[in-house]
Amino acid sequence: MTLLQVKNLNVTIETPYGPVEIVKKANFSLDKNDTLGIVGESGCGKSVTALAIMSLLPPESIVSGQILLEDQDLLLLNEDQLCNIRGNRIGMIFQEPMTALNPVQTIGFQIAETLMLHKKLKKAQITAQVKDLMEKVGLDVNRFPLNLYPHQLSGGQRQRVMIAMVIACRPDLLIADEPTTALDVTVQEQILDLINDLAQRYGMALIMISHDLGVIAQTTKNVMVMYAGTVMEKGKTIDVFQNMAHPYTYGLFASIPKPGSSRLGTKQPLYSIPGHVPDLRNSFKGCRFADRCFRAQKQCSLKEPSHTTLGNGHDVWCFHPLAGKKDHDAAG
Amino acid sequence: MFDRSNEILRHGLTNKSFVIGGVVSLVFFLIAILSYLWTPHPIDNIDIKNKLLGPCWTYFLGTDHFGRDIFSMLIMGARNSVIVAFVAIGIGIGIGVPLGLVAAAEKGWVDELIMRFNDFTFAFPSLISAIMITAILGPGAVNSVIAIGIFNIPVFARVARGGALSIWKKEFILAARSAGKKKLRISAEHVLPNIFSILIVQATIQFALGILAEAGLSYLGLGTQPPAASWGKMLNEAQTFLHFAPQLAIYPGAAIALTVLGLNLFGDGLRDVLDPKLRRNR
Repeated sequence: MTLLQVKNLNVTIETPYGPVEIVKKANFSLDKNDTLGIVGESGCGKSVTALAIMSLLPPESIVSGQILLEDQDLLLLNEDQLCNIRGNRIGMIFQEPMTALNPVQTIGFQIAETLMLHKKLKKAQITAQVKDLMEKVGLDVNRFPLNLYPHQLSGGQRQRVMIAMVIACRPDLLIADEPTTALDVTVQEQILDLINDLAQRYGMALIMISHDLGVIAQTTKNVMVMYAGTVMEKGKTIDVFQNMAHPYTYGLFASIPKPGSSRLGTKQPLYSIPGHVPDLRNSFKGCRFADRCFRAQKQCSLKEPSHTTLGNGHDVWCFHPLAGKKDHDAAG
Repeated sequence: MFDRSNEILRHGLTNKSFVIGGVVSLVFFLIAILSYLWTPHPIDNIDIKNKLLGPCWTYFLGTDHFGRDIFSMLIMGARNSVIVAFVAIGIGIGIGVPLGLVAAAEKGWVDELIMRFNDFTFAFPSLISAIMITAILGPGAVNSVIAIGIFNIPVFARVARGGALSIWKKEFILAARSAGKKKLRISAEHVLPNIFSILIVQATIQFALGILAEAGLSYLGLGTQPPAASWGKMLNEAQTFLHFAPQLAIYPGAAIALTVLGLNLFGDGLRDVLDPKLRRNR
């Protein structure tokens, strides 16, 4: 059953230089208990999409389209109604556990916050639930009493506190915005496992936002590749990762260092996509990736590509998608 | 938190203005508290035979033109100053801080409305407006407190708004909002605790200004009314005798100057101690 459906989402921000289209025509949907990865480089609109779902974008941004949570369009709700949905039905984990916790409030208070807001519970029940949540995210209450302050914890421990805060009300949808980017690799593994495990155990749908293809592969069943505010390709993670059709997706994969490739004597320099991310203040007639694309032709920078369906829910927005192994080899 | 208060104290003791100002302010407060327990003589005790005495064993600092004990009056004056300044700050914080927090949280026209009204109040020199307010409401201790309090409102509103705006940009506010918290509750539970230190520093500065303003109003006869004692009123009464009994003006004048100096030094020192960025420069 469909939990979240985003239709024609556009996010525009008014700036002194005129309106900037940060997200353009994003369409995607997510079933209950399902997982979706959003991948792309910095500034491609991943986080903005997440914040649009939470309706937490700054007031100067203009959001159009539809964001349906079951049958409710979130964009039509007022602030009070949104407050009942945030934290209760949609929870969000932030990137920086260092700054996403208030330094002058105890961790116990911050975990209890969501419960106090959405559940009518007595104080003792809340304390009991907070302790229970601490155990669930792997923090031993005896070692980490509830009256600790965030600065007394390490980055990974803080992210666990953050996760406890977010899952307190068992939201239907969990959005994780680069939850492990600020953490080191060993901790990253544990946190990802924890998020995945909790999402499965409590039947929460998960949107995992990351620039790290490894993280996406590890945690999601579906993936959406974004570039400069537009969706380039989406489908089952396994399809997209094995048979990438968009030249941008191909470029992303080619840019991953392969272990041992230089030591074995091949000494190939690490691939990088030529050029750089376009300035979104420019207006685009065609494909936003056209300037950097190795398959681009005249038509690409003149007309917006419509989507091509490759079957099994695998869609690509490109005039000249890579098709099959032959193209992949040729491109490499 | 325990480590932090220890740390503040350790840094505080190396800061000269914090220590000197703190000691002076502490003595001032102790004297004010002392007035509840003991004064050498009741201040309404008129001993007309012994008027305008110099210092002696019965009257430590001598007597005024009614033969009242100056030392006792100074002690009672300290109490009066503390009460007036405290209540005025209470009014300023109680109304100004919520206004500033709401302005920062809501932004837009709410912010404009609150802050422009603030600017309007701010545009008048505070003492002149206080005179105006007491002239309208009638002279008296309570009305002078209200007048001084009103002028603390825009000060605290500004400081609170400025601090709150920088806190609203932090990610933990976004996290609190994503948990479903409403703006006003975020202001109270997340923003306010983070701007506490700047409010405390501002309060010490406003405290000194409050004492000064009270003395000024009482000097003009608009503040504390007889027989209650006030440093400003003592100055006013001493005016007539300035030629042959200058000590009558010197004592309350010195008391005002010393107290205000002490409180200002303390406020300055406190700001340096609480703000780690400034601290490193010392």
